[in-house]
Amino acid sequence: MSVNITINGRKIVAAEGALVIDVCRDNGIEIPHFCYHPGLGPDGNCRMCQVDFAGPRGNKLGISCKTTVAEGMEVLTDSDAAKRARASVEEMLLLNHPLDCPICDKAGECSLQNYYMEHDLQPGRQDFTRFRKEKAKDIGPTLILDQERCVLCDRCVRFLRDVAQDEQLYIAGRGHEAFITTFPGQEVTSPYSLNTVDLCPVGALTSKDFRFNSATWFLKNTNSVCTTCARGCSMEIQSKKDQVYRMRPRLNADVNGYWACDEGRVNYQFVNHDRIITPFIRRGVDTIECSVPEAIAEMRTLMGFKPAGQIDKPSTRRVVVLASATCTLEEMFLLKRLARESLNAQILVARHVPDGADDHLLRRADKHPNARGAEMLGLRVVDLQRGGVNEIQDMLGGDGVLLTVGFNTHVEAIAPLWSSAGKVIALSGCRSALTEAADLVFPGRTFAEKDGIVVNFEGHAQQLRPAIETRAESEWQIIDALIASLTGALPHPTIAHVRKAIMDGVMSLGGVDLLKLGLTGARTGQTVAS
Amino acid sequence: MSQRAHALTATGKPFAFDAKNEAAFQKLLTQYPTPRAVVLPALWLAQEQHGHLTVEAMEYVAKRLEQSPVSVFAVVEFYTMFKTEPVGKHDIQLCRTLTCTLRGCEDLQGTIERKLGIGPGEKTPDGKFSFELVECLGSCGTAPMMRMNNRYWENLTVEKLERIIDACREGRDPSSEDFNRG
Amino acid sequence: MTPKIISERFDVKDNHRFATYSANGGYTSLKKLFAMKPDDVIEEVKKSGLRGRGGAGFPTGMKWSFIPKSNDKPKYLCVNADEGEPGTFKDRLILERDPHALIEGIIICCYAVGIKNAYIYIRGEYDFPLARLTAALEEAYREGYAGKNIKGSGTDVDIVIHRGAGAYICGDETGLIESLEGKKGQPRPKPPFPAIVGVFGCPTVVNNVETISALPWIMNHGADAYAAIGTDKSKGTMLFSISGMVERPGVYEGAFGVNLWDFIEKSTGGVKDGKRLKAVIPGGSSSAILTADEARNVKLDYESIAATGAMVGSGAIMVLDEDTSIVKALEVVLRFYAHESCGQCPPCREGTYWLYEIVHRIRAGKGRPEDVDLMLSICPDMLGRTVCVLADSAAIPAASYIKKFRGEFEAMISGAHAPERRLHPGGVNLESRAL
Repeated sequence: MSVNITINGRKIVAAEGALVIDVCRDNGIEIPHFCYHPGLGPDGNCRMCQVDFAGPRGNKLGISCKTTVAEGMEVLTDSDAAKRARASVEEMLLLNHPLDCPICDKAGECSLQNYYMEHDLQPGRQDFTRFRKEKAKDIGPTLILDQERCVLCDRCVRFLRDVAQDEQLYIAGRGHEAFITTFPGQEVTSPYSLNTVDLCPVGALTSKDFRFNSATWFLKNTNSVCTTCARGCSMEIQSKKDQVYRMRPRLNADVNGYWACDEGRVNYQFVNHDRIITPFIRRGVDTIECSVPEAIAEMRTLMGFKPAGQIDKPSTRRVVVLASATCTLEEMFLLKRLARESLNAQILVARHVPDGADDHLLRRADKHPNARGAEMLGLRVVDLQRGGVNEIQDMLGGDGVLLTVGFNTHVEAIAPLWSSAGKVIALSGCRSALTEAADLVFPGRTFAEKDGIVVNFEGHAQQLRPAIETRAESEWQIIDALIASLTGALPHPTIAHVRKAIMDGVMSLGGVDLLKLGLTGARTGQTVAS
Repeated sequence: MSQRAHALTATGKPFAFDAKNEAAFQKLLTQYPTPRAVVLPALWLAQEQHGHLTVEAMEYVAKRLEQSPVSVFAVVEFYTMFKTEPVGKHDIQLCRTLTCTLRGCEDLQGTIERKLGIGPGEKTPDGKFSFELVECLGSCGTAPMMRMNNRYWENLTVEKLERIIDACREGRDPSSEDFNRG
Repeated sequence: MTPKIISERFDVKDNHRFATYSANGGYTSLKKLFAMKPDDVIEEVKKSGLRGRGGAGFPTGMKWSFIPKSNDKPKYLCVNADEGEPGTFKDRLILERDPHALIEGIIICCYAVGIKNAYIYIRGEYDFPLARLTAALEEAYREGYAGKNIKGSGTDVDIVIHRGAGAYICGDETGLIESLEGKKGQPRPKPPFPAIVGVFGCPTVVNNVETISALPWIMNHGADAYAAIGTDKSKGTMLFSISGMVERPGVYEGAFGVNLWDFIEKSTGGVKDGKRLKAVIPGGSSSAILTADEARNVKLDYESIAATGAMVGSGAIMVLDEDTSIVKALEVVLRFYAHESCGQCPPCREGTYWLYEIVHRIRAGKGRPEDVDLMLSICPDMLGRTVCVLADSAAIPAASYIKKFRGEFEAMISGAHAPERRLHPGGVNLESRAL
């Protein structure tokens, strides 16, 4: 059912029951607001979204976040009264707001700042000493609270109560003395607490992880995906030079809505240090850096192949290819080809599923982004905690060659394996106990540097995009080079070629075009490839 | 309101309704369709039992009514009659709104400050008196007036107030000084 | 002679006890009530012209008729005994001296609208009225006038007394509803209106104590008899709380339509100590102020008072004499609203505080010449911009005090202080900004 309205004289057709603020937004008119959020619904307290409604007895202001469209409605977003109402709300909010901009994390992405520039621009008429409340208050493992900056929009309260289902913040007190608080002696411990930092329109709630690390306008944004669990929340990676500074969720109605969990958000620290950029070979206690071709030659030797240049029979040694379920679709596809066609090796995809259930919102017990992708490629996925380790140990038989790909974090889960293997080859981007034990290490890229596709537990495929540059080769190119050296097949010129090969070979994608996944990905079919 | 709350810490003493209040609480549960609606009545029971609301008491009420402790805390901080600190034995609440001001409540404030040596929001060291300024108590016809010890004291004059305070100090029943009740 | 409708039994000894109340004809309206169809009762109340006596003056019968007829959700009555509007002290008298009239009125309302559960929300500070009301309710239950199957009529009405805890904003109808639900008393945006979504998500009638207490008389004497009193649009009588600088402050019942100052003078003896009248606030601190001239030349009814820009509101009349500083009066009023603002919306919580800060500064001798116009420019930004009308209740008086007594403000700013009544011995610390 649709409804005919006008906005600033323009005829608009809107869906029945739609909110005026949403209809305006959908038609290119951004109505400023603090308390409204599409993921939380309206509250109606900030009064910033007031617009004028024409009526038989003259115009009347109303809040657009709580007004649904009605047939014949005439909305005026820029009448003098509407403009004055907005400017006045902004002025009222600035009366007791501390002049913290120079030291406030939110500067550059602050609604109060932005709306002042867009809707106010009056000189301040405030003439009294601002009311003092608590500042820089530690309210939990992830959050710092500044009560003075708070505009009492109630978003954090509503989020924790309605979405995270952990009512841990509330507005206490009355009038201009009202303040956001936890219960005395308690903290905000919700695993979704950092969403309140995104939601907070000002710098009242700031993230301990990000606090004072960077001015926001220096950060580059890259649309990518979180790889901390099988949900694969759409994320925005924010970086500067070759360091990741912050990750925030992007809206994806099919995967994570507006939200992300804390664990996934702050799981980027490992990208920033202890990185392996160049391959190296371990001889005794020494490590010798080498080039990729030299490392490939070493790999052939370790696996029992003759030196490069000769097309060989399968290796003389038992090889087990162990891909982490964090590997991308492209990496796994090429690894499967390497294992089955070149090495005649076992290939397994391992995932880390600690005890603990999936929660009510986003977090999955499976701490890898692409186990489903592995299944769709016809690969076997084993849970390291549930017998996976033993199974692989049996396969290695004490002297096999273990080729691990994509184990950057949680390497302790596979620690028993490298003692059961004769030789260990690791494609890993990060230094770890694994790379300290391996005989040969190729560099790898973390999710923040990768272009690659992952498929979440619901079969939703999304594309990782690189936020920072690295000199390290990408894993898929290394695997491709190894295949080339063993079979003589030409390496794929670009990753798009690999994707095309996947689409040609894998049935269960359900018609999804891997070359056109866009910003929020696409849902693949449910069947598993044979 | 807010600054007091920031200093609030657990006392370490657990709180639970006594038998009388437990019975009252059980009756309350039958009188409302949701447990949350019992929050204010339950807080009154707890405050009357203990004299003020401790952190433990607020947690107790929250738990009994399946509410988050922070929501109960927010309610306590919203309503001025809920106290998170002990009040004096004689808790003077002097009305300061329009008619009472027109009819001389500032004289009474001066009297209290002079006689007891405390200002609004303060308590005498011996715990006998606390003093706060409150808003309209609905007694403008008998202004100026105050609320103390759960009753109104109306048509106050400086002299009457002094006699009431003296009676409290000396352990006598101050109602005897409540002349010209009107 | 003003017919005494509400205050008829105020001076009858022991009227608050059931025995006396019923001996004098109390609860007899229920016989007539239960013989009528509920819809006819609503029509009768509509015909009487009874309007809400809490402050808004909304036609009571019309409010009842907004409740949907369907029965998929229970319906509720909330009796507003929060009486917080400064200057008002009349509902309290009903609770102290005629509580059974309120209970009888509750039965009438609930029967007419199909309500089985009524809550009386009484402000926390009203110790004595609460004691009287509690005792009366217990008697009513015991005598079969409340609870199940009232007097064999088949009508069930359960009444629960709910005590507030000190918040003026809980006198606002949706603030009251939120508080009754166990939350902070923060008013809700409307729509939806309580008649559709009220307490516990159900259709709710919110009525003032005095409004409900008028119902037994209307049932007993008929709507026409009630409508015969008062003016064309302001029918009946109201309890007027008259306080301030008058000889005999108190609650006086008056029929609408009399001259305002005549009524005040006749009831209270006029300005105290023979002083000159300066101003009258006709309807609680939320009302605009009237100059002495205006007060002498206006009729006391909703329309006439509204035409001056002021309001009848809760019927709280405050009289200011020649020695009263209007600046001081405004400071006290604004301090009240800043303290009572629930804090939800910026124009109210910040605006009331801002206005208070400016007038406080003026009284402390630090006013600036531009402050008067500054205050006048802030007021329109607080009108019609907020969830509830508390902001308007601060801005409308502020604008009227300043416009009508501008000279006093300017004099205080320029240093020629307007005369105050007297400085008390202790000396209030004007430097203290704490609310």
